[in-house]
Amino acid sequence: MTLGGQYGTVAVMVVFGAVLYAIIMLLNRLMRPSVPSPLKLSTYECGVDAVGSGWSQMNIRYYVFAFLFVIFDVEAIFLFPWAVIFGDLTSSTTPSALYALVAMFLFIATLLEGLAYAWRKGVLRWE
Amino acid sequence: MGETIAFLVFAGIALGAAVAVVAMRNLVHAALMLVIHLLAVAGLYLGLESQFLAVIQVLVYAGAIVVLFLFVIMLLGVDRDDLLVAQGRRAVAGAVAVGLVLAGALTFAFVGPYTGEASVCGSDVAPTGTEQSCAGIAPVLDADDDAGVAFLGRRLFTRYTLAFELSAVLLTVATIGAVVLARRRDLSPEDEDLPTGEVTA
Repeated sequence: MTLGGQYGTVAVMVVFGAVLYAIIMLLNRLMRPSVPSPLKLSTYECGVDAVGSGWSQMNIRYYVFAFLFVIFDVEAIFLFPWAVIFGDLTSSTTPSALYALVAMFLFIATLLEGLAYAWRKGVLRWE
Repeated sequence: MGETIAFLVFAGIALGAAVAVVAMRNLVHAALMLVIHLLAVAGLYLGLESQFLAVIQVLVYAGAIVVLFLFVIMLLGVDRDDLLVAQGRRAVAGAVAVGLVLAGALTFAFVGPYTGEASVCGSDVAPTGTEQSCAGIAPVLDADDDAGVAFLGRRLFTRYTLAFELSAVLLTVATIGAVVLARRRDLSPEDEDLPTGEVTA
C-alpha cells in the first residue's frame, strides 16, 4: 500500500476540512456584529454563577477509573494480534490453538485480578 | 515524494509540539501539546507503513496515557500562582546543555547502527554476518499484508509468551498500587472548601 493511494484521500479530506473551517470562520467574522461585554466571557454553568475556578484540585478517587481505563486499553491492544492469528491456528500449528487460547485467557485473568482487587476494596463504589 | 512530504509535515508538527510541551507555562496546556506531539508521531509511524503501531500510538498514548497525565496534574491542582517560569539564566543554560548532551547521545547511538548502509535491507538484501544490525522486517512486511499484526501475534505466542504474561503481572501490580494509593476515606477537596448545602452545578 502506498502513501499516495488511500492516504492521499485522507490528506485531501484534512485540507478540505481545514479550508472549509477557515472560510466559515472568516465569513462569521465579517458578518457578525461585534458587541463585546465582560458578561459574555463568563463561564456558562447551567445558567448559574460558576462556583470557584476550573483549576481546582481533583479528588484522587477519579484516578482509579483513569488507571483502570489505561490497563484495559492496553489489554485490548494485545487482543488484536491474537484475534488476527487465532483463526488460522490448529492443534498442529506453532503456536497451537489451545496454547494461544490458554495464554490469552491467563493474561486476561491476571488483569481481571487487579479489577477484582479494586472492586473488593470498594474504590469503584462512590458513596 | 508523498512520503517525504508526510514526513516533513509530521516531523515539523512533532518537533514544534515537543518544544511547546517544555515552553508552555501552564502544565495542562503542556499536556495538551503532548497530545499533538504523540498524534504527529503516529503520523510518522503511518508514513513508515506501520499502521498497527500508529493505531496503538493514538489509542494508548494520545488517548489513555495523556488522560493519566492530566489526571495527575489535576490531582496536584493547577493554580494560577504556580505557573512554570524559568528560574533564571543558569537553569535555562543547564536545561539547554542537558538537552544537547541527550540529543548528542541519541544521535551517537542511532546514527550508524540504524541509519548506515547495513541497516537498509530491502527484500532483496539478506542480512549477512554478525555485524548486520538490520532488523530484517522488510521481507516480513512484504509477506504479511495486514501491517505486521499477524507477525506480531505469532511472535507473541511463540517466542515472547513469557514476556507477554509478565506484562499482565506488571499491569496488575500497577493497578493494585493505584488502588492502595487512591483508597482514602477523607473528604474530597471540593467538599472541604464549600459550606454544607451548597451545590456545584
